[in-house]
Amino acid sequence: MAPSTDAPTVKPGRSRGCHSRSSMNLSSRELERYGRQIGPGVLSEAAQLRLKESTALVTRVGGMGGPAALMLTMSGIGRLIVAHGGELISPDLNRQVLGTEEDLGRPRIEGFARRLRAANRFVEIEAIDHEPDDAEAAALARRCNVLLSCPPGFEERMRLNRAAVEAGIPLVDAAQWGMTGTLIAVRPGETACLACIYPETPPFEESFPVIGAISSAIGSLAALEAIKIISLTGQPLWGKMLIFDGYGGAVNTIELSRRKSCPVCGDGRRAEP
Amino acid sequence: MKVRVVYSGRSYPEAASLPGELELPPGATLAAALSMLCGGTRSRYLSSACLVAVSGKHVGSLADCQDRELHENDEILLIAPVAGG
Repeated sequence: MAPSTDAPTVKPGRSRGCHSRSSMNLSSRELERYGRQIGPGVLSEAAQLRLKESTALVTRVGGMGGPAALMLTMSGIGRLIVAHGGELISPDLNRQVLGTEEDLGRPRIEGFARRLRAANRFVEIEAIDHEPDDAEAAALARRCNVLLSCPPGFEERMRLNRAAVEAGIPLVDAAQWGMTGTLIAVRPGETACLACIYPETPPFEESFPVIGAISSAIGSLAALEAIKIISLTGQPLWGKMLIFDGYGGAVNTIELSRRKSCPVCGDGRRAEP
Repeated sequence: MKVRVVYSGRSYPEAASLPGELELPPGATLAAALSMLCGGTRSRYLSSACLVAVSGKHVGSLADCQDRELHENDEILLIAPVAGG
Protein backbone atom coordinates (compact mmCIF):
# COMPACT_ATOMS: atom_id res chain seq x y z
CA MET A 1 0.00 0.00 0.00
CA ALA A 2 1.44 3.32 -0.99
CA PRO A 3 1.67 5.93 1.74
CA SER A 4 -0.94 8.65 1.45
CA THR A 5 0.22 11.75 -0.36
CA ASP A 6 -2.39 13.61 1.63
CA ALA A 7 -0.13 14.48 4.53
CA PRO A 8 -1.82 15.52 7.76
CA THR A 9 -1.34 18.87 9.41
CA VAL A 10 0.23 17.43 12.52
CA LYS A 11 3.31 15.28 12.47
CA PRO A 12 1.98 11.92 13.56
CA GLY A 13 4.56 9.96 15.42
CA ARG A 14 6.17 12.96 17.01
CA SER A 15 6.39 12.89 20.74
CA ARG A 16 4.06 15.27 22.53
CA GLY A 17 4.00 16.58 26.07
CA CYS A 18 5.63 14.41 28.67
CA HIS A 19 5.72 11.43 26.38
CA SER A 20 9.27 11.84 25.17
CA ARG A 21 10.44 8.94 23.02
CA SER A 22 13.43 10.20 21.14
CA SER A 23 15.80 7.74 19.44
CA MET A 24 13.21 5.00 19.77
CA ASN A 25 13.46 1.68 18.01
CA LEU A 26 11.39 -1.47 17.77
CA SER A 27 12.84 -4.29 19.84
CA SER A 28 13.15 -7.80 18.46
CA ARG A 29 10.25 -8.84 20.68
CA GLU A 30 8.10 -6.03 19.34
CA LEU A 31 9.01 -6.96 15.79
CA GLU A 32 7.96 -10.52 16.59
CA ARG A 33 4.69 -9.34 18.16
CA TYR A 34 3.75 -7.14 15.23
CA GLY A 35 5.16 -9.35 12.49
CA ARG A 36 1.73 -10.07 10.94
CA GLN A 37 0.93 -6.37 10.54
CA ILE A 38 4.29 -5.29 9.16
CA GLY A 39 4.51 -5.92 5.45
CA PRO A 40 2.86 -5.32 2.09
CA GLY A 41 -0.67 -3.94 2.38
CA VAL A 42 -0.36 -3.25 6.09
CA LEU A 43 2.30 -1.17 7.89
CA SER A 44 5.91 -0.49 7.07
CA GLU A 45 8.43 -0.85 9.88
CA ALA A 46 8.71 2.93 9.95
CA ALA A 47 4.92 3.16 10.28
CA GLN A 48 4.99 0.70 13.17
CA LEU A 49 7.64 2.85 14.82
CA ARG A 50 5.44 5.92 14.35
CA LEU A 51 2.70 4.08 16.20
CA LYS A 52 5.09 3.33 19.05
CA GLU A 53 6.11 6.98 19.21
CA SER A 54 2.49 8.14 19.43
CA THR A 55 -0.08 8.86 22.09
CA ALA A 56 -3.84 8.57 21.63
CA LEU A 57 -6.75 9.49 23.86
CA VAL A 58 -9.91 7.37 23.76
CA THR A 59 -12.93 8.61 25.63
CA ARG A 60 -15.06 6.84 26.56
CA VAL A 61 -14.05 3.17 26.42
CA GLY A 62 -17.45 1.48 26.37
CA GLY A 63 -19.19 -0.15 23.41
CA MET A 64 -17.13 1.61 20.75
CA GLY A 65 -14.24 3.09 22.68
CA GLY A 66 -13.48 -0.29 24.29
CA PRO A 67 -12.83 -2.10 21.02
CA ALA A 68 -11.05 0.99 19.70
CA ALA A 69 -8.76 1.06 22.74
CA LEU A 70 -8.14 -2.68 22.54
CA MET A 71 -7.25 -2.54 18.83
CA LEU A 72 -4.94 0.44 19.35
CA THR A 73 -3.27 -1.38 22.25
CA MET A 74 -2.84 -4.59 20.28
CA SER A 75 -1.54 -2.64 17.29
CA GLY A 76 1.34 -1.30 19.37
CA ILE A 77 0.62 2.36 19.98
CA GLY A 78 3.15 3.78 22.46
CA ARG A 79 0.83 5.32 25.01
CA LEU A 80 -2.93 5.10 25.29
CA ILE A 81 -4.92 7.36 27.55
CA VAL A 82 -8.40 6.06 28.32
CA ALA A 83 -11.13 7.92 30.19
CA HIS A 84 -14.40 6.55 31.52
CA GLY A 85 -16.27 7.20 34.76
CA GLY A 86 -18.82 5.20 36.73
CA GLU A 87 -19.20 1.59 37.74
CA LEU A 88 -19.80 -1.37 35.46
CA ILE A 89 -23.43 -2.49 35.40
CA SER A 90 -25.00 -5.59 33.90
CA PRO A 91 -26.54 -3.88 30.80
CA ASP A 92 -23.02 -2.71 29.83
CA LEU A 93 -21.96 -6.29 29.17
CA ASN A 94 -23.87 -6.65 25.90
CA ARG A 95 -21.21 -4.46 24.27
CA GLN A 96 -18.46 -3.21 26.58
CA VAL A 97 -15.83 -5.75 25.59
CA LEU A 98 -13.31 -4.62 28.19
CA GLY A 99 -15.71 -5.51 31.00
CA THR A 100 -16.16 -8.88 32.69
CA GLU A 101 -18.66 -10.46 35.09
CA GLU A 102 -16.05 -10.11 37.84
CA ASP A 103 -15.90 -6.35 37.32
CA LEU A 104 -19.64 -5.75 37.87
CA GLY A 105 -20.22 -3.09 40.51
CA ARG A 106 -16.63 -1.86 40.35
CA PRO A 107 -15.27 1.29 38.70
CA ARG A 108 -15.22 0.56 34.99
CA ILE A 109 -11.84 2.08 34.32
CA GLU A 110 -9.96 -0.20 36.74
CA GLY A 111 -10.97 -3.40 34.98
CA PHE A 112 -10.75 -1.82 31.54
CA ALA A 113 -7.18 -0.62 32.12
CA ARG A 114 -6.20 -4.01 33.55
CA ARG A 115 -7.57 -5.74 30.46
CA LEU A 116 -5.70 -3.38 28.15
CA ARG A 117 -2.42 -3.80 30.03
CA ALA A 118 -2.85 -7.57 29.86
CA ALA A 119 -3.27 -7.37 26.09
CA ASN A 120 0.10 -5.81 25.34
CA ARG A 121 3.06 -5.36 27.66
CA PHE A 122 4.69 -2.93 25.23
CA VAL A 123 1.99 -0.26 25.58
CA GLU A 124 1.70 2.30 28.37
CA ILE A 125 -1.91 2.63 29.54
CA GLU A 126 -2.94 5.77 31.39
CA ALA A 127 -6.39 5.49 32.98
CA ILE A 128 -8.64 8.39 33.94
CA ASP A 129 -11.65 7.54 36.10
CA HIS A 130 -13.95 10.28 34.85
CA GLU A 131 -14.98 12.10 31.70
CA PRO A 132 -12.69 15.10 31.11
CA ASP A 133 -14.22 18.56 31.31
CA ASP A 134 -13.33 21.33 28.85
CA ALA A 135 -10.03 22.25 30.47
CA GLU A 136 -8.88 18.67 31.00
CA ALA A 137 -9.87 17.64 27.48
CA ALA A 138 -7.86 20.55 26.08
CA ALA A 139 -4.84 19.64 28.22
CA LEU A 140 -5.05 15.97 27.24
CA ALA A 141 -5.37 16.82 23.55
CA ARG A 142 -2.11 18.77 23.71
CA ARG A 143 -0.35 15.58 24.83
CA CYS A 144 -1.77 13.43 22.05
CA ASN A 145 -1.27 12.75 18.37
CA VAL A 146 -4.89 11.74 17.80
CA LEU A 147 -8.12 11.85 19.75
CA LEU A 148 -10.86 9.21 19.48
CA SER A 149 -14.30 10.45 20.43
CA CYS A 150 -16.58 7.58 21.51
CA PRO A 151 -18.93 9.03 24.16
CA PRO A 152 -22.68 8.37 24.39
CA GLY A 153 -23.92 11.83 23.46
CA PHE A 154 -23.32 14.99 21.47
CA GLU A 155 -22.25 17.27 24.32
CA GLU A 156 -19.07 15.29 25.02
CA ARG A 157 -18.41 14.87 21.30
CA MET A 158 -18.52 18.62 20.83
CA ARG A 159 -16.16 19.10 23.78
CA LEU A 160 -13.65 16.64 22.29
CA ASN A 161 -14.04 18.28 18.89
CA ARG A 162 -13.18 21.69 20.39
CA ALA A 163 -10.19 20.21 22.21
CA ALA A 164 -8.84 18.56 19.06
CA VAL A 165 -9.30 21.66 16.91
CA GLU A 166 -7.68 23.90 19.53
CA ALA A 167 -4.71 21.52 19.83
CA GLY A 168 -4.49 21.06 16.07
CA ILE A 169 -4.62 17.27 16.28
CA PRO A 170 -6.81 14.89 14.27
CA LEU A 171 -10.12 13.74 15.70
CA VAL A 172 -11.80 10.44 14.89
CA ASP A 173 -15.46 10.51 15.89
CA ALA A 174 -17.33 7.21 16.14
CA ALA A 175 -21.05 7.08 16.86
CA GLN A 176 -23.85 4.55 16.68
CA TRP A 177 -27.52 3.89 17.29
CA GLY A 178 -29.23 0.52 17.04
CA MET A 179 -27.60 -1.31 14.15
CA THR A 180 -26.17 1.75 12.46
CA GLY A 181 -23.01 3.75 12.98
CA THR A 182 -21.02 6.67 11.63
CA LEU A 183 -17.34 7.49 11.46
CA ILE A 184 -15.73 10.87 10.76
CA ALA A 185 -12.07 11.92 10.57
CA VAL A 186 -11.41 15.60 11.22
CA ARG A 187 -8.22 17.35 10.15
CA PRO A 188 -8.49 20.65 12.04
CA GLY A 189 -8.56 23.74 9.89
CA GLU A 190 -8.73 21.75 6.68
CA THR A 191 -11.78 19.50 6.83
CA ALA A 192 -15.21 19.82 8.41
CA CYS A 193 -15.28 19.53 12.19
CA LEU A 194 -18.27 18.29 14.17
CA ALA A 195 -19.48 21.85 14.77
CA CYS A 196 -19.47 22.46 11.00
CA ILE A 197 -21.78 19.50 10.55
CA TYR A 198 -24.02 20.10 13.55
CA PRO A 199 -24.64 23.87 13.95
CA GLU A 200 -27.17 23.01 16.65
CA THR A 201 -26.43 20.11 18.98
CA PRO A 202 -28.96 17.43 17.98
CA PRO A 203 -31.10 15.83 20.67
CA PHE A 204 -30.06 12.31 21.61
CA GLU A 205 -31.46 9.99 24.24
CA GLU A 206 -29.26 8.64 27.03
CA SER A 207 -30.60 5.07 26.77
CA PHE A 208 -30.03 4.53 23.07
CA PRO A 209 -30.51 1.05 21.61
CA VAL A 210 -27.31 -0.80 20.78
CA ILE A 211 -26.13 -4.26 19.91
CA GLY A 212 -22.50 -5.05 20.64
CA ALA A 213 -21.68 -6.28 17.16
CA ILE A 214 -22.25 -2.83 15.65
CA SER A 215 -20.50 -0.83 18.37
CA SER A 216 -17.50 -3.18 18.15
CA ALA A 217 -17.40 -2.85 14.37
CA ILE A 218 -17.50 0.95 14.41
CA GLY A 219 -15.02 1.12 17.30
CA SER A 220 -12.59 -1.12 15.44
CA LEU A 221 -12.92 1.04 12.32
CA ALA A 222 -12.23 4.11 14.46
CA ALA A 223 -9.02 2.44 15.66
CA LEU A 224 -8.08 1.67 12.06
CA GLU A 225 -8.53 5.34 11.13
CA ALA A 226 -6.34 6.39 14.07
CA ILE A 227 -3.67 3.84 13.11
CA LYS A 228 -3.68 5.10 9.51
CA ILE A 229 -3.48 8.71 10.62
CA ILE A 230 -0.61 8.39 13.08
CA SER A 231 1.38 5.86 11.05
CA LEU A 232 0.93 7.81 7.77
CA THR A 233 -0.50 4.77 6.05
CA GLY A 234 -3.31 4.55 3.52
CA GLN A 235 -6.01 7.16 3.01
CA PRO A 236 -7.82 8.33 6.13
CA LEU A 237 -11.45 9.39 5.94
CA TRP A 238 -10.46 13.06 6.04
CA GLY A 239 -13.51 15.24 5.54
CA LYS A 240 -15.83 12.31 5.02
CA MET A 241 -18.52 10.52 6.96
CA LEU A 242 -18.78 6.78 6.62
CA ILE A 243 -22.26 5.53 7.41
CA PHE A 244 -22.61 1.84 8.13
CA ASP A 245 -26.22 0.65 8.04
CA GLY A 246 -25.99 -2.78 9.58
CA TYR A 247 -29.76 -3.21 9.53
CA GLY A 248 -30.05 -2.75 5.78
CA GLY A 249 -26.60 -4.09 4.90
CA ALA A 250 -25.44 -0.89 3.23
CA VAL A 251 -22.43 1.40 3.49
CA ASN A 252 -22.35 5.01 2.31
CA THR A 253 -19.62 7.60 2.35
CA ILE A 254 -20.32 11.30 1.91
CA GLU A 255 -18.05 14.30 1.52
CA LEU A 256 -18.62 16.72 4.37
CA SER A 257 -18.72 20.48 3.89
CA ARG A 258 -16.92 22.95 6.12
CA ARG A 259 -19.03 25.81 7.42
CA LYS A 260 -17.42 29.21 7.00
CA SER A 261 -19.12 30.59 10.09
CA CYS A 262 -18.24 27.56 12.25
CA PRO A 263 -17.66 28.76 15.83
CA VAL A 264 -14.96 26.12 16.40
CA CYS A 265 -12.87 26.02 13.20
CA GLY A 266 -14.24 28.83 11.06
CA ASP A 267 -14.76 32.58 11.06
CA GLY A 268 -17.12 32.27 14.02
CA ARG A 269 -14.26 31.55 16.41
CA ARG A 270 -13.95 33.97 19.24
CA ALA A 271 -10.87 36.13 19.11
CA GLU A 272 -7.98 35.00 21.29
CA PRO A 273 -7.79 37.07 24.50
CA MET B 1 -37.33 12.40 -13.53
CA LYS B 2 -36.65 9.98 -10.71
CA VAL B 3 -34.40 10.48 -7.72
CA ARG B 4 -33.54 7.84 -5.12
CA VAL B 5 -33.95 8.49 -1.41
CA VAL B 6 -31.91 6.63 1.23
CA TYR B 7 -32.54 6.91 4.96
CA SER B 8 -29.78 6.15 7.42
CA GLY B 9 -28.67 6.90 10.93
CA ARG B 10 -31.33 6.44 13.54
CA SER B 11 -34.27 6.83 11.17
CA TYR B 12 -33.88 3.44 9.53
CA PRO B 13 -36.68 1.73 11.52
CA GLU B 14 -39.15 4.21 10.03
CA ALA B 15 -37.69 4.09 6.54
CA ALA B 16 -40.04 1.35 5.44
CA SER B 17 -42.94 3.80 5.62
CA LEU B 18 -41.14 6.48 3.60
CA PRO B 19 -40.67 6.61 -0.16
CA GLY B 20 -37.43 5.27 -1.53
CA GLU B 21 -37.91 7.08 -4.83
CA LEU B 22 -39.45 10.37 -5.89
CA GLU B 23 -40.92 11.25 -9.26
CA LEU B 24 -40.16 14.92 -9.86
CA PRO B 25 -40.61 17.29 -12.80
CA PRO B 26 -37.45 18.15 -14.75
CA GLY B 27 -35.54 20.95 -13.07
CA ALA B 28 -37.00 20.23 -9.64
CA THR B 29 -34.99 21.44 -6.69
CA LEU B 30 -33.78 19.75 -3.54
CA ALA B 31 -36.07 22.01 -1.50
CA ALA B 32 -39.08 20.73 -3.44
CA ALA B 33 -38.01 17.13 -2.91
CA LEU B 34 -37.46 17.64 0.80
CA SER B 35 -40.83 19.30 1.08
CA MET B 36 -42.43 16.19 -0.42
CA LEU B 37 -40.44 13.94 1.91
CA CYS B 38 -41.00 15.85 5.11
CA GLY B 39 -44.54 17.08 4.63
CA GLY B 40 -47.52 15.99 6.69
CA THR B 41 -47.12 13.12 9.12
CA ARG B 42 -43.73 12.17 7.73
CA SER B 43 -42.10 15.08 9.51
CA ARG B 44 -42.23 13.21 12.83
CA TYR B 45 -39.81 10.65 11.45
CA LEU B 46 -37.25 13.12 10.21
CA SER B 47 -35.89 15.64 12.70
CA SER B 48 -34.60 18.99 11.51
CA ALA B 49 -31.10 17.86 12.56
CA CYS B 50 -31.05 15.19 9.81
CA LEU B 51 -28.00 15.60 7.60
CA VAL B 52 -28.71 15.86 3.89
CA ALA B 53 -26.40 14.66 1.14
CA VAL B 54 -27.02 14.70 -2.60
CA SER B 55 -25.16 12.11 -4.63
CA GLY B 56 -22.42 11.78 -2.02
CA LYS B 57 -22.01 15.45 -1.11
CA HIS B 58 -23.15 16.87 2.22
CA VAL B 59 -25.28 19.97 1.68
CA GLY B 60 -26.42 20.73 5.24
CA SER B 61 -29.29 19.60 7.40
CA LEU B 62 -33.04 19.53 6.95
CA ALA B 63 -33.15 22.75 8.99
CA ASP B 64 -30.67 24.55 6.77
CA CYS B 65 -29.30 23.14 3.54
CA GLN B 66 -28.07 24.58 0.27
CA ASP B 67 -30.77 24.30 -2.36
CA ARG B 68 -29.84 22.99 -5.78
CA GLU B 69 -31.34 21.60 -8.92
CA LEU B 70 -31.69 17.85 -8.92
CA HIS B 71 -30.93 15.58 -11.84
CA GLU B 72 -32.17 12.22 -13.03
CA ASN B 73 -30.79 9.40 -10.83
CA ASP B 74 -29.54 11.71 -8.08
CA GLU B 75 -29.54 10.12 -4.66
CA ILE B 76 -30.76 12.02 -1.63
CA LEU B 77 -29.30 10.59 1.58
CA LEU B 78 -30.91 11.58 4.87
CA ILE B 79 -28.87 10.75 7.95
CA ALA B 80 -30.58 11.12 11.29
CA PRO B 81 -27.70 11.96 13.66
CA VAL B 82 -26.39 9.25 15.97
CA ALA B 83 -24.23 9.77 19.03
CA GLY B 84 -24.27 6.50 20.95
CA GLY B 85 -21.01 5.24 22.39
